[in-house]
Amino acid sequence: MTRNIYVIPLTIMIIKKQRRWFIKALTGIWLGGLGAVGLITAFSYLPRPPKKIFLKVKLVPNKVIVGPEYFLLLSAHGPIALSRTCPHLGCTVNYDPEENIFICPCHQSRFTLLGRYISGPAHKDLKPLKLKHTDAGFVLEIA
Amino acid sequence: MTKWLSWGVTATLLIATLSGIIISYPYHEEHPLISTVGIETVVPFGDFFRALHYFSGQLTLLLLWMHTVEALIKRRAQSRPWWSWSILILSLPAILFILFTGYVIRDDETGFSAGRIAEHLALSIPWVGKYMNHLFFLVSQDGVHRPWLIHVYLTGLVLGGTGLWHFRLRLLSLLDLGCWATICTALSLVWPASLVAPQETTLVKGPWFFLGVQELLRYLPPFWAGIAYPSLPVVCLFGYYWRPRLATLSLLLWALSYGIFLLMGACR
Repeated sequence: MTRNIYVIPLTIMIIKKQRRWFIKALTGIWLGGLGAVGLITAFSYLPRPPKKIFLKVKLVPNKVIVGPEYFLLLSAHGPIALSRTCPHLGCTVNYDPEENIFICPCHQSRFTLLGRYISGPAHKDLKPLKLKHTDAGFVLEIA
Repeated sequence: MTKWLSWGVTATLLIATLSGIIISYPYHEEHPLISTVGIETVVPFGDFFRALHYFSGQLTLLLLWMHTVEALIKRRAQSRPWWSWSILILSLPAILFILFTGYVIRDDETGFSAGRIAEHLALSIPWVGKYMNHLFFLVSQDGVHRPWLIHVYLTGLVLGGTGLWHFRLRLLSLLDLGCWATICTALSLVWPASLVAPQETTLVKGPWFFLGVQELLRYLPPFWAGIAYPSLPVVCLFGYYWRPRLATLSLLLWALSYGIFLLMGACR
């Protein structure tokens, strides 16, 4: 009888403690799992296929066609397409008709009409884009 | 002065948040520039609310910067627990980031370039750069969706964090709020909020506070110019709690050098 006086409250206390610990652990696991799932969802992206653009244009020597993401022109070696994304920090490169070169407006990197690096912090050429000439026009691949 | 500044930060942040809620309805992140132009031209009083949002945001940054300088001069770090000082310091880059994403999400000439630069700068961070980019920017793949989310969520966090601290001390008085609302309204009625149309130009200038970094990016690799150098004052402000003299000297040198780069960038 005397023993029960001590044992019963002690057992209740242990059960209560265990229950609290169990709820805490369960909440931790749930929150951790939710965070992990959230991170995986945020980070895991499948690589997207390149965007294809169909262009029905006639290329003329010394004339640059300026698209939203590309330059298209007729060089001595044939038609070429260049990305307008600056290799330095991704700004959109513009065409300067006065100097007949490409200039990045953000940090002033300069490129020839063939996309070759001239000066500025880019230190790389403009990226050439895949260009396919068909009877109907040009198919441009923007990665 | 301290109360005037700290309540100024809270009041202007509150005005920026409220005006932000109003202009967030006609704003569409799928068509950021078109909807921003729509706010300016079609929405009734849209240009006013956009200007109010813009100027109250700019004032929040300026006042918070002044509040931090004042806290340094009066050596408030020593009389506060380290976590309280850390919250004040963290609020500075957070407000700067909110303001920066505000430029990005309007997607005009300045915002578009700023977004692309920010994405590449995030990618230049070793090991975690890709994840940072996925969390905060990814503008080249996902448009302004993430900067828009960060702009909204971080505003809530900062308002909750700094606002709660100040509201705990006392309620923001109507007089304080009224004074700052009048200043913001006056600025909004006189000047429009900046919006630069996309054009074939050979020079694009970033947000005014970013001009120093933009200038430095011409000479140094992206990580050093765009991540390490702008992080220095934050590290120094944290360090001020333990090594005040060294931190003050470093901060002064940094401020001087950044001032020079900012002037160089502004004069281009």
